[in-house]
Amino acid sequence: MSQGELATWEGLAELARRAAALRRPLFRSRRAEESVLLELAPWVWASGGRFFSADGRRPEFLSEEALKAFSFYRDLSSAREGRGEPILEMDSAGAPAAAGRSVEPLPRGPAGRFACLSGTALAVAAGTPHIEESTALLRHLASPRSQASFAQDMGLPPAAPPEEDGAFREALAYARPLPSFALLGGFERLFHRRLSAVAREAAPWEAWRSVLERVSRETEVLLTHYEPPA
Amino acid sequence: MSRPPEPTDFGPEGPSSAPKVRPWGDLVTELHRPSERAFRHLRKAFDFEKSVVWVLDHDSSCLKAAAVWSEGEVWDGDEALPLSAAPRLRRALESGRRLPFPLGGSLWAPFSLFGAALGFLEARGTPAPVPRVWSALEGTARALAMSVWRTALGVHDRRRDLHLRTLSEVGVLVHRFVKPARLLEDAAGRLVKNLGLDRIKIYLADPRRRVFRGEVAFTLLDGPRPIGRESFDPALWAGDEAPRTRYAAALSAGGETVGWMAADTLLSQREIAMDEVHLLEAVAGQLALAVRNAALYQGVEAKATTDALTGLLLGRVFNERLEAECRRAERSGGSFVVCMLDVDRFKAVNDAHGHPVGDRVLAGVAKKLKAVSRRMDVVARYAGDEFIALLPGASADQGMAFARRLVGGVRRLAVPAPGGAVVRPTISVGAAVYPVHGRRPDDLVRAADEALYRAKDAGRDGAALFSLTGSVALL
Repeated sequence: MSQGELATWEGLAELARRAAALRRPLFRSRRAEESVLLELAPWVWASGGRFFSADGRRPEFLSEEALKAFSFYRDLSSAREGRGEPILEMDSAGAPAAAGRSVEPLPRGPAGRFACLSGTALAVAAGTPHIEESTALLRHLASPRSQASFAQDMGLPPAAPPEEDGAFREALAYARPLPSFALLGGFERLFHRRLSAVAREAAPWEAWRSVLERVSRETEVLLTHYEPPA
Repeated sequence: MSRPPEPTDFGPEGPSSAPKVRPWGDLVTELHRPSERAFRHLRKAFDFEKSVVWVLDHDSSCLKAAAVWSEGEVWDGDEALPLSAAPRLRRALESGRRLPFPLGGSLWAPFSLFGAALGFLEARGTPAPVPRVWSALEGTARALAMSVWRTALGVHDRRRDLHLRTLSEVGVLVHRFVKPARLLEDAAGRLVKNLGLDRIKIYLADPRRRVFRGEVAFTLLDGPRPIGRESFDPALWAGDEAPRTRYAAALSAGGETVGWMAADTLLSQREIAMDEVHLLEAVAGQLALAVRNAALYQGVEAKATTDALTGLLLGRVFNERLEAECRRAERSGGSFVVCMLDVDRFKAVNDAHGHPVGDRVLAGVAKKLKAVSRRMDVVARYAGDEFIALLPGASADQGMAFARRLVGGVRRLAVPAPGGAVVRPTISVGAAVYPVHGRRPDDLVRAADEALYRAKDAGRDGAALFSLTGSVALL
């Protein structure tokens, strides 16, 4: 395996084919209870697709570009089943690094290279009677030592990434957050529940397609729960 | 670790007496303690990172996570795994035999009772799957089977009670309300609260536009809320197979679809179970009958109270409204005006051009009358070519201003007649004011009629206000 092979979708696909021939698992996605949306988003963006229309009122993840990304991801993950440790693992940047594994950025897709930027909020609640103690706790939680512990034990991305985390630093240049709208949390939960069912067993593409079509319809109904101010 | 004695039952907690809002939530809640005992028992046999009790939902063909052991804590499950997406698990469940190899990093032991598959006990991050590990896992799974079975039976009983109560409550609502708007809102609210749905929207048929227009929305968080002008889109509600979080039931009565009732749980992600679908269908049937009956009633009422040619109220209905207005004005004070009008030389129109043209003239005058009236005014076809209007709260000046607008509006009427002729009708109007010209309906109508004849005597195409002294205030 070389860095060149991991730089593009084509290189990664070729590596997957070789690994499958060796009957070695190539790829393992995040744990099932984590967000499938966060995991899939960079692949969709790298393919030139997006999840929602610009006004956030319509789902658009059934576009040709987005489907191509889902299909590519599905092909990779279908090679993951088997015994033993995977040689590639999808995760946030901090956890594998904390576990002493090599970290590579996501490969470049047809529309470029993307990463998904999300964070864990640490905050002091407004009006707290113990402002100094709360601030001290927050500083402790945000310290490199605590963040390394979070990353290693819980798989959470670090709120303050270590200076030497080159992959994270590099990814910041092309990372983007998920679209921001009132029902994003509901959509993420819906997307995760439906897609994790097919991702868990590396289901056939027809099952993926069927689930994606269903989630698209459900998302349209979900979005009607919020009516923007006139 | 030494192998603990194999238990036979982890028991359910005794079912609570009061029905809960969320049936699946009940099952999860009541399986919490038995599952915890099972996990603790399993931990005595071997270590594992995580364990899940999966229960098979036959209605949806899904495995549902009822309880999860992770990092020393037991959590309520929140995951549904369709068997269609897990063929190996389905085969293991059908055969009742464990998966011979780890799947997704976990060992899976199925459990069943009386030959019926009930679910799986999953353990992840275990030692190598040696016989001792399998034996402990399968023994624990077998003991869980009885707990799951008994708990599910208790939940099923309470669901049935809740659904019967909901049907009964909706039945009472159907009998209570004649007009559908309030019935639909109350019924939607009852379903949302009893079943723990996020929202119900009800759409009713708009035959003129051949769509189903939004009528009522009720959400668990906000209660009733406006639905706007949206129409029902069947494509959005297609593909609602289990595990479903939305369902649209047709409001059908007598082979006719009069509307749709759309329920969803997309915010809470709580599954709408098959028995809840049956309940929604049953309620939709009741509401459909009520909506159709209301439409029939409104149709009959309209025929009994309105004139077919002009769409105005009948004179009999006008008299009832006039009586009520007299009583109201007597109680609260104030004034109102009664205007009587007829078409000048209407008989000549009929004789010269025929009754169909005469009818068109009457319809045209009625249209002008409605156009110059306020929403609160009462306008009626009194008899033949006579019309009458009641203007609540109006003074004499306002009544005469109304009459002027009406006379002027009718002057602009042009009714085509056979042979290229055009009829340009005019009207005469007489007005009387409560309480100056009378306090009783008969007196007011008589006064307005007398003023009308004075307007005719003065040359027609005008209006006159009744005067007790016999003088005429002409337009």
